[in-house]
Amino acid sequence: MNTLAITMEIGTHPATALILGGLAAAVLRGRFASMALVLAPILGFWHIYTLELGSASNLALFGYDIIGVAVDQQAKLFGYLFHLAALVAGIYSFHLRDPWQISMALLYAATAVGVAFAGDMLSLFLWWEGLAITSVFQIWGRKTKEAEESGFRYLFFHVSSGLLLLAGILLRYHGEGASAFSLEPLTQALEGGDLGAWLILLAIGIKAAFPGLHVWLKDGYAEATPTGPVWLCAFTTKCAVCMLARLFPGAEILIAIGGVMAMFPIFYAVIENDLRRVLCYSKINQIGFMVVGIGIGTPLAIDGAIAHAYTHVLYKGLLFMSMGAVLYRTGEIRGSHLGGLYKSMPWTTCFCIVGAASISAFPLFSGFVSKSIIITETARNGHVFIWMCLLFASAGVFHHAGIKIPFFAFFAHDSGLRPKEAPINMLIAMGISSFMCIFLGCNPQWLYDMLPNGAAGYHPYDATHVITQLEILLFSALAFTLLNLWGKYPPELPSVNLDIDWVYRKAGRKFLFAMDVFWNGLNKRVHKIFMGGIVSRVNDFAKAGQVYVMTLVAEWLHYLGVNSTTTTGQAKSKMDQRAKLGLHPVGLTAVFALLFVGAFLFIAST
Amino acid sequence: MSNPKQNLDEPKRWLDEPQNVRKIIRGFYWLCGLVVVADLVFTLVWHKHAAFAEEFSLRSLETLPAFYGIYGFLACVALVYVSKLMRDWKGKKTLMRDEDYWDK
Repeated sequence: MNTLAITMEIGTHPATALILGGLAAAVLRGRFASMALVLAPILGFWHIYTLELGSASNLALFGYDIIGVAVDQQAKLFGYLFHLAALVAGIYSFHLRDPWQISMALLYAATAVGVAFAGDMLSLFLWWEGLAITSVFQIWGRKTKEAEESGFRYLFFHVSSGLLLLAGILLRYHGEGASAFSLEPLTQALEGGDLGAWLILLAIGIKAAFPGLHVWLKDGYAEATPTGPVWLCAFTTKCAVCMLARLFPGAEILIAIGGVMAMFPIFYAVIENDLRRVLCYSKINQIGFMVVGIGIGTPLAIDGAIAHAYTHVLYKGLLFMSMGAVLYRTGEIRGSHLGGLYKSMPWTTCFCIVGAASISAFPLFSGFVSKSIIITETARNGHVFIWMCLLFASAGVFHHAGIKIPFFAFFAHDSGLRPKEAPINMLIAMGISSFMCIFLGCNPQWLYDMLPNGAAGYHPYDATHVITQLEILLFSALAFTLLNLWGKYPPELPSVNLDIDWVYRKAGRKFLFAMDVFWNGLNKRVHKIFMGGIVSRVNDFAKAGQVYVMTLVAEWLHYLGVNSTTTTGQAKSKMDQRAKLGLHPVGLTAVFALLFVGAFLFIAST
Repeated sequence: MSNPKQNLDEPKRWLDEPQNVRKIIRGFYWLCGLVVVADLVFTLVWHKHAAFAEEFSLRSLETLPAFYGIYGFLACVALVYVSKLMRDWKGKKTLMRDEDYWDK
């Protein structure tokens, strides 16, 4: 049984190029390391292109058959996406000279590719853990105290996610044996109340930023390096969406979860001051759309969710890149301290507007061709309330991501900042993303052909759809304009807003404090009573008892003429001295002890 | 958009003129009107696809001209007012705190 055999229908693992690139970037220095950021994704992209659908690679280990790689249409699509995202983020990070950040970024992309191609639960678990560990370096790379602490909080969530996944897999393995390792949909098991399936959903839910489990996202990304979120936003949550689409298509509960995800972050986004954190909230909102699509579960809705994940990586990356460029050039990302940057950063402004138009789903931009599939399917399947929520969220996302981000960063009141235009490598990366956003928006068929079900003949450019979408967007903008002119719009204020993280960052701290006061206080008090009181008295007694007794009987001894000293006072002080020096004979103490015991026994017996 | 911090040597931009900003806003109002007119013409003259099937009551509302515009407008106004309540309610802070809150 203990044989190690590998059967490979495919030459090497799809993530090989990125892993080798990551290792090279760790060893090389300067521009050579940065070259790995560009070359590895290109080679990897070509490798994915050569993979044949349906092929797999098995690893027989200790009698288990681990399917390391399984190639299907969905895996290939995410493979292309992750390599494209890595290429763009790589060009964007070309100026970086921190080997940890560069090499870990490539390894992070590699683990994401590993998740997309994982053939069973075991290989999925390994890559899943890899995602957590490699990604945190994009936060720690900032090298501030806040970033370090935030990184640990981030890691806490993601390591928990890995452990929950493992627990879920093992529970299911005990229930039904080796078939539990397959990546077949778990929707039925979930709805049948299988605990293992619930744990797996929870594990994926942490990475997908389900409501209540989302705080690592807005906490970690906002503390990351200027280039960090460009990497972070592409992989972790998209791996979660990829696995949700594989394991839980059509799970009813996802519709409700997705609805909440689409709704609540937009309120936070309106009052948030940190512009990267605004993007984090709008990211949760966009993932909400995908989760709803997966929850509806029709082939077209799943296609919509995957298409939305694809376009989302591009435009959200673009928005994070433009904000990263602002942070890189000005060292500032708070909306209250920015404004008027279009004068000196015109290109970044243009690219940001393209990203904003894409996330808002303007016709001819990429968000339009993917988000509309999900909204249409919601209506077709009769989810009236969720449809209204998604429509509300569409208006809201334009409001906060589409208008607020470019408006407060590049226009609004003039902050007086005149930073230089972003470095050329950043501009190239933003240019590529912008091109892709517009290209996919104008040629949706390119995207649809890659989808697992080919989007089943969906046509986004229908006159009704274009008009209604333009109407909803323009009137959202009208609301923004009028509220701003009337002074009703909440101004950008230097502040933080409480979120679920209050529970562990404040209530948790208070809990710790309360526990500290109570238990350590109790400990101190008990210590005082026992160690300070009783023990020291017993000590005193044991040490000085004999002296008391001696002084007590000194007078009698004096009368009896045993003591040679003249006065009782002298005898007492002499005894005191001898006692302090420990010169009393032990026997004398023993005699007195014997006398006491005798007296005690006598009293007790009467 | 005048600002005391603005460098005096800097040439004034087109957007720095308040009247140009007003021009843009006026153009934007026209655009909004144009889309509503397009919706109206499209609803009355051509056939508008309904998002919902026959049995849903929302269908008759959804196919009305300018439904999406009104919904989008109201949604955004509601969004802003609810968000403001998240900052403070009747003078008491709800969710907003000082910037150094976490370090306290």
